[in-house]
Amino acid sequence: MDTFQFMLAGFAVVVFVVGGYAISLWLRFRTLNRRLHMLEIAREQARSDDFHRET
Amino acid sequence: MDISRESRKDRNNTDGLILLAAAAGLSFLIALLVVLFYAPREQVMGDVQRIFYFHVAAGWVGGLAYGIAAVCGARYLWKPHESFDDAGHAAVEIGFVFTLINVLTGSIWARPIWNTWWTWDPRLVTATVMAVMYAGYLLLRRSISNVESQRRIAAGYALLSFLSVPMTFLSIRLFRTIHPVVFGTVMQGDAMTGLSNRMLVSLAVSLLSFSFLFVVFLLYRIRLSQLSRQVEDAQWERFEAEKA
Repeated sequence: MDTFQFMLAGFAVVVFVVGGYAISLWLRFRTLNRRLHMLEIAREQARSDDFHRET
Repeated sequence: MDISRESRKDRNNTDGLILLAAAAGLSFLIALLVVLFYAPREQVMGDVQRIFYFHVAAGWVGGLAYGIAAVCGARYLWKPHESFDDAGHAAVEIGFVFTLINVLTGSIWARPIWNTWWTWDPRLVTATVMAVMYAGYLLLRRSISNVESQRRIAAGYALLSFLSVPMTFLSIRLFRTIHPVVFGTVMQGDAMTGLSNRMLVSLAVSLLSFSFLFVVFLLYRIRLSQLSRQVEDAQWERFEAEKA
């Protein structure tokens, strides 16, 4: 390997680690947002059920 | 707490963060182009020396992150508030990622220059010990179930672990080492390790770009902790409602 290839390997490490971390953050965000959204729907549903039961 | 209103607010906050993330990505791309095409080719080491710009920037962000974690830890111990814990935890996680980049790029750079991937040099050892200590922080948090204890112990640990940062910085100045000292006019043999103007500009661009990337990651990671707490609260609320 010449020094140019080692440079590319170094840059690849930077791009993959930074990119990998960014993707992991995005995935965690998406998962939590979806879970919150589902809980929100369940809560609205429970409210609506309570309302119908009372009336 | 009205969950629907809260989550709408979250989505608006996230829109702002997406713009910041795009700007950070762009600044990273600019830094990459500057390092590849603007920075001069070093005469002795050749192209592999270009790793230096990201290696130093990653080390700087690691130190900065651990400094922020230590300040947040001290602040939390003084007056406990979950926002300091969120910020400290986020800083350590991101700092660990950048320290990992620092150590790995250093190893790749060392292979053609020192003819080895690793040597028991004081700088390499102290940097790796620092990374391991902060990996310990992340593991420690996971192993404590009581939230209050987890936050308090993590704050104390972050404060103590910060000792490894000045130790790493000073290791090449205090001990005999083969690692170059870049900042300050330090004589090494007959050669003075100085940087040309174009090298300094490239380094400044990398430092700014990585610092900006760190700030954006930090904001995202803090937001993630808040979101996680919101989900826990909503789950708890649902559990209570079902029980009733």
